[in-house]
Amino acid sequence: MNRYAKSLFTIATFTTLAYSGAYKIPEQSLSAVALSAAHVAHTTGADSAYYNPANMAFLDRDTSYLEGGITAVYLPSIDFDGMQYLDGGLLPAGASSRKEWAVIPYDHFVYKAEGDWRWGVSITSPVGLSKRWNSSVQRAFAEEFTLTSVEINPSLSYRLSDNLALAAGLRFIYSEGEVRSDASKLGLPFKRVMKGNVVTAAYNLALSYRPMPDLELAATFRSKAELEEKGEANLYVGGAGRHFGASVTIPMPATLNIAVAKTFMDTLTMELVYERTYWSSYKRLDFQYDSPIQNILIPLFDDPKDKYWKDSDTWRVGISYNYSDRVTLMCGYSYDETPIPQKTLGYELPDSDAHIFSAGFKIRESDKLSWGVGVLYDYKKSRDVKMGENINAMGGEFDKGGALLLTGGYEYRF
Amino acid sequence: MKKMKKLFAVLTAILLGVVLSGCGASVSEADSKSPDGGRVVVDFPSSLLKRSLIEKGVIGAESNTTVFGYRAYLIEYETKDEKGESVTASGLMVVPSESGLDEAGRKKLEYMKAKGFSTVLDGHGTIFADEEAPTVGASMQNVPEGSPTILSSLYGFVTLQPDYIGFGSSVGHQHPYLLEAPTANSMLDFAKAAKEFAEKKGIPLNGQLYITGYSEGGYAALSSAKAYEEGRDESGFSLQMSAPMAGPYLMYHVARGIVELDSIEHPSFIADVAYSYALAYGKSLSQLVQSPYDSMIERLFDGSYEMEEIEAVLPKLISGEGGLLREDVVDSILADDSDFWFNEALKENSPVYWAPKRAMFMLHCLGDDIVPYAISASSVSIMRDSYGAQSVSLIPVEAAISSNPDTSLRLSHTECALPAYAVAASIFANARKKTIGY
Repeated sequence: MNRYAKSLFTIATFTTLAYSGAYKIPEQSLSAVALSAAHVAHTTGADSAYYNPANMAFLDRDTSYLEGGITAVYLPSIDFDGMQYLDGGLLPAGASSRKEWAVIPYDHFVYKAEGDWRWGVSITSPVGLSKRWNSSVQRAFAEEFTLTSVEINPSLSYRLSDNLALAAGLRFIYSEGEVRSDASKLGLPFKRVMKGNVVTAAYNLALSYRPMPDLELAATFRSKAELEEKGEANLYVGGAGRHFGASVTIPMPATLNIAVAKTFMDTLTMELVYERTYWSSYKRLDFQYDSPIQNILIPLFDDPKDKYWKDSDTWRVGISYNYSDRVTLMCGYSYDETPIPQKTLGYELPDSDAHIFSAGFKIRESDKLSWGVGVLYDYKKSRDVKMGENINAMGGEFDKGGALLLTGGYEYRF
Repeated sequence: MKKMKKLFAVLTAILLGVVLSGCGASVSEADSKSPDGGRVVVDFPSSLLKRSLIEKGVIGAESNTTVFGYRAYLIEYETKDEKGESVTASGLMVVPSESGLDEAGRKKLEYMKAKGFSTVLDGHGTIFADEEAPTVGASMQNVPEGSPTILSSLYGFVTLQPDYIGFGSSVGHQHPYLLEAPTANSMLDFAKAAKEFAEKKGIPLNGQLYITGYSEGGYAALSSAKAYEEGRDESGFSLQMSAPMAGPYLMYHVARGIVELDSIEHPSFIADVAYSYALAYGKSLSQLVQSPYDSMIERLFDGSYEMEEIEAVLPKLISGEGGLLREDVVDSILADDSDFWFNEALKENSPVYWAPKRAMFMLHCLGDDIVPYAISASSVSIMRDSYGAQSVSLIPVEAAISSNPDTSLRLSHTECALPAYAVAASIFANARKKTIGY
């Protein structure tokens, strides 16, 4: 058991990216990647612990489930074609962000049932962001914005009847943030370096109902967590700077998933998921310092920046097909709304609505072991920003960006 | 059940490991000390500074003017207070830098470095709050401030601004306000420390020293020029000339001018003089200041409060019921009672009773509303007529900036400061050009 446990909790790195609606990362297992995260009502493996812990109650009660894997993420550069109003003048601001690579490991485990109770645990990276710009205008705002996270999410399910189960879980989230801004290339000698981290907790709830053997209904809820990144900051005016204790709070928003899955002829399952993410809790970004900062830097680095994000909807559909006893094929599509209004869009996260396409397969090597591969492409729509309507005084168009994910994973049952 | 315990143990260990990995939140300190005894507190590029000087209308700052970058070091040094006791004080050393310069500016700076920088020892005006001190303000704000923007960035001098005793590193010590000896000590000892720092740091100085300062700084400039010529300088600098500006050099006359009034706009100055002199001469403050203000003054002048805050407490009325000073003090000053210790202390601390050998240009605005122009005029007369000084001259700042001796322009004490510095810097720069070649 111990070696399985070690395997389960192997975490190599924190997640560092942003590709799906703002900075949430919903794809945390092989099936979730292959199904565009349309993976809530019909979960059949260890990743139930994360996507719908109530479904743990319906897994084979004498079997333990272990799943692990790794997702490689490639974030192409985002192009901006436009102008920036800054320091009393208009500056040409056409630029491309840096391409990003990241690796997301994940692990899920569901232990055998004990009566009607069953527990499981997931280790995931639920939020992440990395946006880096080398161009002179963008560096002034977001030379680097990085948010990394790891979540340990133990959960407990209770089987109320043969077709109804409930679950609840605790979420322990560790997060690190790093912010760098440097306006020196614009002749403005102002620079910020800030790092912070936080451990926080939240909870999750799940409900599964199976009115018929081939029809599964589910609802899950993940509560909001405030990531109050506390740490230190250096604020520079020219070549001289001061050191501060600093913090900034960003929300990890609550999410609600309502899902229905229907299985046809015991081989083909279609799942529809509606996901509501309560981003409206993100009203402003307000850096706090332990003593007053340099007066000249207050407008840049101290005054709160309005965000006023809006709640966003995501619609997901996933199809899995048991091609044979050994092979399962999967594909999915999502339409993911951005929560960021034009008014507060910034270089640190120039998000837009997205079409998400995915596919994958699983091969069953034996009764105990299966493995698979999933791929996901996140296509971001281009987005216009009107200077007069944007508080960051940018005008132009963001284009490209998006993400490509490749996941390899295994599942072991024992 | 055993297996589950093991699993939870691993889970806990990983969770703790994650928590303990919080070292990712640290940022190495931006303001760590340098090993040479000072640290950079301002390093500002020329381009932005030039724009700011032009916007402020500083005399001499134009689009085709070379404005040097501004690098300021905080330096601590030892000096002696009014009782001769050692005090660790601090000062700001501002050096013209290459930051933000174009090619022509860089070449000019290189030439100046090859010839060595001339140095201006500059006394700042009256302050009450520690955060107004040169090194404290520079450390907190990291931006160029005040006269060094003219002296260093516009005219290419190294500027030395001591905080004076009582501010910066010596904030716990009462500021010996307008007391000649400790004021001169804090100026000249800083010059010595800055010269040593420059040698360690490889900042090329040519040994030339110019002394100036405005208001209290004018007093400090005259006091330190006097101390220098009396042989109390250990820096090794060669004093070229001085330009004390708008200082209350004749302390008794200034005090008498104040007590002749019924009320005063800024009672903080005379209250600080009373406090400082009472401490220096071992007297009780209640011999000078009426109750309840005598018991408030120590707190008011501890470096925590700015002038506006202090003057919200102190009365504007000079004496009488509810006034600041005791009536017998006022009477004694008006009668020039030589038995009254305060009168004698004021005269002892008036650094005008000597004959400067080096050139001295006393600058003062005709329209000065706080320290009357007549103070400088009388000071020059005393030095010339009573002591035979040949090299002392008086320049009305309004006349100098308008190139018209009969100008009707009048600038107040506050308005006069920047133009006065521009005139002083121009005089120093002319002298430097004749002797150093740039």
